[in-house]
Amino acid sequence: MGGFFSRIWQRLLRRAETRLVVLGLDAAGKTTFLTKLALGDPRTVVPTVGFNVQRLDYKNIHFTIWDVCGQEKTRPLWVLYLDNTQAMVYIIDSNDRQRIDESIEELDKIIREPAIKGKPLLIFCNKQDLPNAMQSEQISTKINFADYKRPCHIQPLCAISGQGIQEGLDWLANTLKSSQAH
Amino acid sequence: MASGEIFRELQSDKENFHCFDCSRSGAQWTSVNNSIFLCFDCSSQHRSLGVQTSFVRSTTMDSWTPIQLSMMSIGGNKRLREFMEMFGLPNDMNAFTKYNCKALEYYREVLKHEAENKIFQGCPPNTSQARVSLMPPPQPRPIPTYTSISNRPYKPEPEDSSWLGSAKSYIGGKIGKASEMVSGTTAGEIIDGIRNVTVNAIDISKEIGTNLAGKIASPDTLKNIGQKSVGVLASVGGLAYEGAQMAINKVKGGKYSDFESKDRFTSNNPSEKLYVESIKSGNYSGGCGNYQPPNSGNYPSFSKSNSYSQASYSSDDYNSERLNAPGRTTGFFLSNRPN
Repeated sequence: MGGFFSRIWQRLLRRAETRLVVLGLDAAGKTTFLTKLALGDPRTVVPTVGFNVQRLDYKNIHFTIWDVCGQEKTRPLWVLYLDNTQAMVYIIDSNDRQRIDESIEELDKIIREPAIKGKPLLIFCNKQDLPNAMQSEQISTKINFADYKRPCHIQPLCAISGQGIQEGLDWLANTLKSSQAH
Repeated sequence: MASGEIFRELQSDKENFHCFDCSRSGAQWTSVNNSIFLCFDCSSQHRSLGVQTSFVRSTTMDSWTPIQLSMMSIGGNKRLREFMEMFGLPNDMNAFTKYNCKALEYYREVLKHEAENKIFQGCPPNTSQARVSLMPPPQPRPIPTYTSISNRPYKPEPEDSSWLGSAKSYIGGKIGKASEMVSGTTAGEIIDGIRNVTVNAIDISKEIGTNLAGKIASPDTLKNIGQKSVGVLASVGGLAYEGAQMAINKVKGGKYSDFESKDRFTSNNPSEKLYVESIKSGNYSGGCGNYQPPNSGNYPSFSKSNSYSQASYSSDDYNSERLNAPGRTTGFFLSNRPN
């Protein structure tokens, strides 16, 4: 009898396993975002060589977050991390006005991969606290959402202070839940 | 590989082989706009300064443009060290104060111009001013203002919301009253009511337009308002036409659901044609329609079958037409998934 109830209880509280991949140009703030999210401790992170993985429970969803190296010569390897991925997080450095177009070109390239077809895309405009940062509205005009054919969301972010992380993850959790319900 | 050979040659100089900040050997990272070589740990501090102050690249993992390579070759650790000694700046300063000071800002400009074969016109700062920081100190960080994209993508213009809101509520209220009248009256009264509403709406918008023309100076805003009001009028006409069609269908014994809005009438003067058609259609035998009027007074709910989408009428979102243009979907929650 107890086993019966515990099985029902487990079924009610069944957690969805979700794999996220965090992409973006080098020095965009991917590792800082992940560190702040998982450890709550903003620190000066060293450049990622390879990848970082963190596990995180948020809103009854079990996230496994992969943070991948963003240097130019390792960007062809991004494709290898996309298998079995439920959603993609793309981080843009809003302060880097010279490379904003490069960043969006890379996003356009990676978004066409069949492995993440129709999967939700969360775009973080990081470093909003810096005085020279572009507004997220400005960045959103450069992105052609109609081509992406998936749920998209743009969220301003300050990864060091953590502002904006929760709003973005809320959207992601709601979108993933609604897509799994169908 | 061209960049690898250049770096091997540059780092054959012993000073370039060591990190500029901590003088550890084996520097594989660079700050391009300061033109210095850094170790792995110091590159992380430089990355947190922002790209305007220090643009960090890896010698091995990044691809290099010719201008960046020439910047690295004309600068180097030795040149920056001599420059800092000239201004009396110690090398063991905090990275934030060191790279944000005026002297290094000048140095970066000089390097940038030299790499493009130009001459920098600015004059170097005084030794007294060399340490003055260009950036505010990092602690405490200013709290950024977040405009959440999903709610409101563009900032509204304050002058627009007032007049458009009042006009919409007025017209919406009139249409709501008209739709209430529809439920219990004959066809002729319905048509008359709709016609009165349409004419009233045209008069009101004319009044608003003449009042506004004196107050608003910028031609862009006026043009914008003009386009909006034409849209509002056209949608009022469309709604009135729909109402009349409903009445006519009711007379003919058809159902409301049979009504098709494809050939909607959207000319400049909608009320006349409506009236003519209503006379042709003959008498209405009375009785309540199955049609439930939507919320009266809430204008956007009336435009559900209209060619103008709801979002373009939201009261303070003036630029939303850009989002509704073909090739873009409405808003930022793009719910155009296949299922």
